Amino acid sequence: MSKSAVIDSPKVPASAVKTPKRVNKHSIWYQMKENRACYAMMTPFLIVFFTFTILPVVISIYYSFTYYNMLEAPRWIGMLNYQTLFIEDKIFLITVRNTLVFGLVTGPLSYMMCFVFAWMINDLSPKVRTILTVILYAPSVSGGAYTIWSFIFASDSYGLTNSFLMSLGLLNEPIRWFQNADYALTVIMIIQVWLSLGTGFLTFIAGFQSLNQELFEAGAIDGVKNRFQQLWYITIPQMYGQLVLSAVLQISAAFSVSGIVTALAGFPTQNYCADTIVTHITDYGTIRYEMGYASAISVILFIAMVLFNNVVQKILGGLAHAD
Amino acid sequence: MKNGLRMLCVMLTIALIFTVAAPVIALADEADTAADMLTSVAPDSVENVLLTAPVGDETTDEVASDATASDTTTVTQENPYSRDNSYENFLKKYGNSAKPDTEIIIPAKDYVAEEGATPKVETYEGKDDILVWDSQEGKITWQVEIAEAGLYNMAMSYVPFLDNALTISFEMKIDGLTQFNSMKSFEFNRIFTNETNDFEMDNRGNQLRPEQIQLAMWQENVFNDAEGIYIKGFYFYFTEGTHTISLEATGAGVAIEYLKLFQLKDAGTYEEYLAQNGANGVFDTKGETIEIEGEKATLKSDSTLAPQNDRSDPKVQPYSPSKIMMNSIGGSKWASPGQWVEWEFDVEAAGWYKIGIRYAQNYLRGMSSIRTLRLDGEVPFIEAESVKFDFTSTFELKVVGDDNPYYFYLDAGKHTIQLEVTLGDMATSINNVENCVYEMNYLYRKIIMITSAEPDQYRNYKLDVKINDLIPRLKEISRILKQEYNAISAAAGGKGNEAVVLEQVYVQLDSFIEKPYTISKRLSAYKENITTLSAWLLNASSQPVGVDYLLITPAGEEFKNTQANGWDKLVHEVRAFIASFTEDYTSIGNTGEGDRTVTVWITTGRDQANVLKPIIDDDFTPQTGIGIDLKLVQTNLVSAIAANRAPDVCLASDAMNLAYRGAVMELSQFDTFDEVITRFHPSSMLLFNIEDGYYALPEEQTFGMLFYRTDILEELGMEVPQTWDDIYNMLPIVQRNNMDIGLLDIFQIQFHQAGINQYSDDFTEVNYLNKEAIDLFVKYTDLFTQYKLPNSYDFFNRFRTGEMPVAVANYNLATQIQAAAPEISGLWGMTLVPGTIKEDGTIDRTQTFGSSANIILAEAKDPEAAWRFLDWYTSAPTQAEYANELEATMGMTARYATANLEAFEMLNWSKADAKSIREQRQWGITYPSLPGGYYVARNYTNAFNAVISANEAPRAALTEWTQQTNAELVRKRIEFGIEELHFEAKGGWED
Repeated sequence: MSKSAVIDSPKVPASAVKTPKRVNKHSIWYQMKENRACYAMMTPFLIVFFTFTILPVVISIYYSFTYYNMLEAPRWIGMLNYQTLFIEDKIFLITVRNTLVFGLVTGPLSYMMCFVFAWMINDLSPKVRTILTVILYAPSVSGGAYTIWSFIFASDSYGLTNSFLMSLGLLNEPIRWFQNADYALTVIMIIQVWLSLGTGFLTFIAGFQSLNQELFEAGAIDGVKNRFQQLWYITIPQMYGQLVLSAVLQISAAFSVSGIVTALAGFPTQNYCADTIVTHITDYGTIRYEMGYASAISVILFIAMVLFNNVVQKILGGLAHAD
Repeated sequence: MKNGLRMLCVMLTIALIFTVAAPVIALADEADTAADMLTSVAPDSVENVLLTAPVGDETTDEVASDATASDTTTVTQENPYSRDNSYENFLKKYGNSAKPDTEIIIPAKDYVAEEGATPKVETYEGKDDILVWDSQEGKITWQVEIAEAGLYNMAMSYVPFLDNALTISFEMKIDGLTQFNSMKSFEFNRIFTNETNDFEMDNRGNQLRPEQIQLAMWQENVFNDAEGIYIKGFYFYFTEGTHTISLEATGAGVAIEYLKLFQLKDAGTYEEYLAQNGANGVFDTKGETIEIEGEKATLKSDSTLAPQNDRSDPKVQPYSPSKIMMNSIGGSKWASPGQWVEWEFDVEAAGWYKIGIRYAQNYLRGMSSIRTLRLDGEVPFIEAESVKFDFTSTFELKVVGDDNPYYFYLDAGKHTIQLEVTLGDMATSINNVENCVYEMNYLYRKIIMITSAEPDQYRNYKLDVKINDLIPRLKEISRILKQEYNAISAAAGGKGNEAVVLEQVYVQLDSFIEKPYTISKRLSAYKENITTLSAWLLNASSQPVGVDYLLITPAGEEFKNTQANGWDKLVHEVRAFIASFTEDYTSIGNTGEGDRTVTVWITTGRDQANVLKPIIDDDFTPQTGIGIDLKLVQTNLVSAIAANRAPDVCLASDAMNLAYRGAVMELSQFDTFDEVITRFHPSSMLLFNIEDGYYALPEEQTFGMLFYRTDILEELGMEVPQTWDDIYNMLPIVQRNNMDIGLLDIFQIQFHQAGINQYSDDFTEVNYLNKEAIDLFVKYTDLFTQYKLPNSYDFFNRFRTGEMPVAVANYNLATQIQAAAPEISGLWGMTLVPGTIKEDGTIDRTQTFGSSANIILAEAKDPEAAWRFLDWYTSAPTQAEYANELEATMGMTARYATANLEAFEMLNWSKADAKSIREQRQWGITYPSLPGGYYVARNYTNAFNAVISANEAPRAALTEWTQQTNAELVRKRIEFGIEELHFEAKGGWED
């Protein structure tokens, strides 16, 4: 938005011209004044973004160095929270492991599934495409739709899966899917994949729709032999933007899974088998009233997410500009 | 990695299931059919259960266990609780006897005997020689001389006492005998009215619901069926000679004038009515229409029939798109048989009138709600006995008589019109279906005694042979259901959407009869059908109608237009939408007026808030001059405190977590504190105690009770268990019959009964590591690992089907069973939890109880006023009124588990239940809330699950997790800098 200002500014060092009233055109203030219309238009968003995103992040970084129970004023305790977190908190490690499993399995899996589904559906006729899009997108729109899974995986013998496996004779007694440490995480991951197909998938559909068709013709002339070559050499490089956006969404979704864990497996989950970092934060923040500690955990989570995003963007960048 | 692999496996399994399952099922079915067709094939393969012997060959049933052998004996036994003693059977026996047309009055004062009733004979409510029986207990006997043998109806002239609102009910015996089951409980109604018909407004322009006050009015009511199944009054059979009639109080008492034996007269036909009133075929009375607002009813039989706000229609009177206007009456609350509403009106000129009722009935799709219409206390003609209100999604005008309105002759002067809920034609259907449900449940139990609740899919259990009357019984049920389905469909004009359930069930039963070998496979569907059928029953026996207003229009005039058109509706919706930006829907009633105002948050729900607010406005505010700002808030109190937006008082809140962090006010500083805490169980305050401070008052308290099915225990020849040993002894018998006992979480109870304190004396450790506790835990987990008791179940459904005839569950579930499982009414009981026998031979029933808390926030602006509110709120009169109003508004299932001991006695518990609950409460104990105390339950569950799911050794699991609990307790102590903790709860803490 500030492009015009940059181009217009003459390349004269400010010190060389000693006119007293001359304003430094490189100064941010000057540029803001020049582009005040743009800034005015950005202001509402910036205010909201600052108050509800930047400020909380900064504040929680501050809280992470304090003892704060939400009812009394915070008390500075330095690195103590981090010390406890890394040295004493065994459950934190369990939740880190769970979160990583979530992030590394459901993230990429649902990412790839989104892409493959979108790629396949894209070639269907518009009507069928719309219907399938709705079917795949619906779970993530209709907030509590995942509660249906608590029936499918109900823990007594009348639950769908249990009664089915029992009627086949594969099970003799019902499995408590969400209470059993051996299954809870897996089952929730399946549900999470189902649930997360939505937004990423929609982004990909949009990406496929906006591809430059001329390149495909050019590719055909240049000897693209099959759909996979087409995908690899033409489609993917064109879709860099969507790939990154969707990856960011998927990663943050996978790392911040908590609602569905709580709703399906309880809070906290049995023996912490499916607790994630975010539920651990909730545990400390709301049940134990240790907001300072909870903030420390969320700072760690924040850093981890930023790092992962960078890594993924590097990988995708490599992929998109492979040739 | 391990997890990834596991997930892959599960996904593959599921994929496999979906692809393989269908054909497998189909195969299994085919195999079954094949087995049936190949009955002549000799069974030589022991493994292949599918192709076992031809039907009837007992010897080849190689898997026959002890269980099945012993079952055959019980199967043929008659069920002692069967409904043989029903009124139907009574009528079959005596129905043809004479009905002598004489009237015999037995003055109540002439009783011949009484046991524990302590009645007085005195002048009461304007009548002399009245039997005042206010003790709520005992039995009174009268004598009657019968000249002519035969069937008589009976009635009683009585007036209720106004000091309570308990159900008035009696058990009757004639010559010391119960002639039919229904004699065990006769209910008599009270009479209520609006305190005022000029509805008051709060300061935001919302009308307030007028209080429903009881009237002491003499009524003569017939002894009839409380459930409304038998519409007419009951007949009682008397032979010639002297007989005794005794009434035993099972609810509130009454003052009785007389009992009467007589014959109820049926109303005549409409033609007879016209002839009697000299109709000449011309109905041309002219004049003004009389409009009666439904909400301004003069009398009603139930306090739930209070004026209501209905904002769904723009033509309701009075109307406001956003404010609360009292503009209708009834609705879902006016649904049970016997409930009536009466309006009074003035007729200026004598003549013929027709009646229209503007009503809404959007509850029973495809069916009608039925009302009996009475003018001046009489049913004018037989057609008025069942006036049908068809389903309608909006308010509509019901003209009595529909297209050919009935004309009623009214003299000039005052008249009353009364509408009473009746089941009408549905009554017999409901009775029959109810019997079917009972039978189906009975058969279900018979079947699972042989097959278990999860039958082997590949085995032919030959149920039709083992349960010798299975097929005939199924046929009979199917026949009745078919008959009722047709009857209901016919009545609803061939549609009968609501009755589709019946069809669904008899279709299944028919296929059972045709292919008995499929029963075991389709058992779960059968069970679901029972549940659906019970739900249908509940639905069908409720007859809701909401009334906006009544029109008494002269015969020669037209009814006014009452229908809202599309434009009206559009305007209405738009106005309501706009108002939603300006109306404050979180505040209830008046918002802070006067100098002293206390802000109170209520978190339980809108109904609770709506019930509480009028009580505050009528009682507390006038008494003290303190205004209460009641807010319905579902959000986090902590955030509110952090944002400095906290209320002064919070009802049903979290207490101790806040108290440890200095957010809650200490209460013992207030002058009346010592008096207030005597209202609760002595152990209650310990929950809210730190050092010498107390931070909350208890609101609701619940604890477990033992629920049992009398019919099943009787069938299995067992007594109600009193101790854990009784439970362990009955477990094999129950399980051999493929039923279960619900014993989840009894470990805590046993733990406390063993006399172990929850915490060590210095409160640094939880006492689970003590040897006795570990032994108990091992034994407890054995129930689930060795005995395979279900570790996750829906108590209500399993109890209702009888799959779980004995279970420990929270006592307030009793109302749910009572309200939602009518088919087992009278067949179950509730008693104290099983106990541990102590050395001196007494049984220890100790149990901890939980409690929600009422708190005053530390930042309260006017602590004294806040305390006065809490003092008032937790007092017995307020709690009783609140509880009873709540039950009146929301129904029986909303019964409030008040912590106030005196108020508890005023709730609608039956005497027996109240006694059990009271006794159990006496065994109640509590433990102080330690910082970090939430870890006890959490880690106990973790340990339990480690044993159940991960097969860990109970000893190791409990030890490991308890150590974590102890660590947390220590950690939290460090956080609060607590060196030493002690608690000194007044009265409670027993060692």
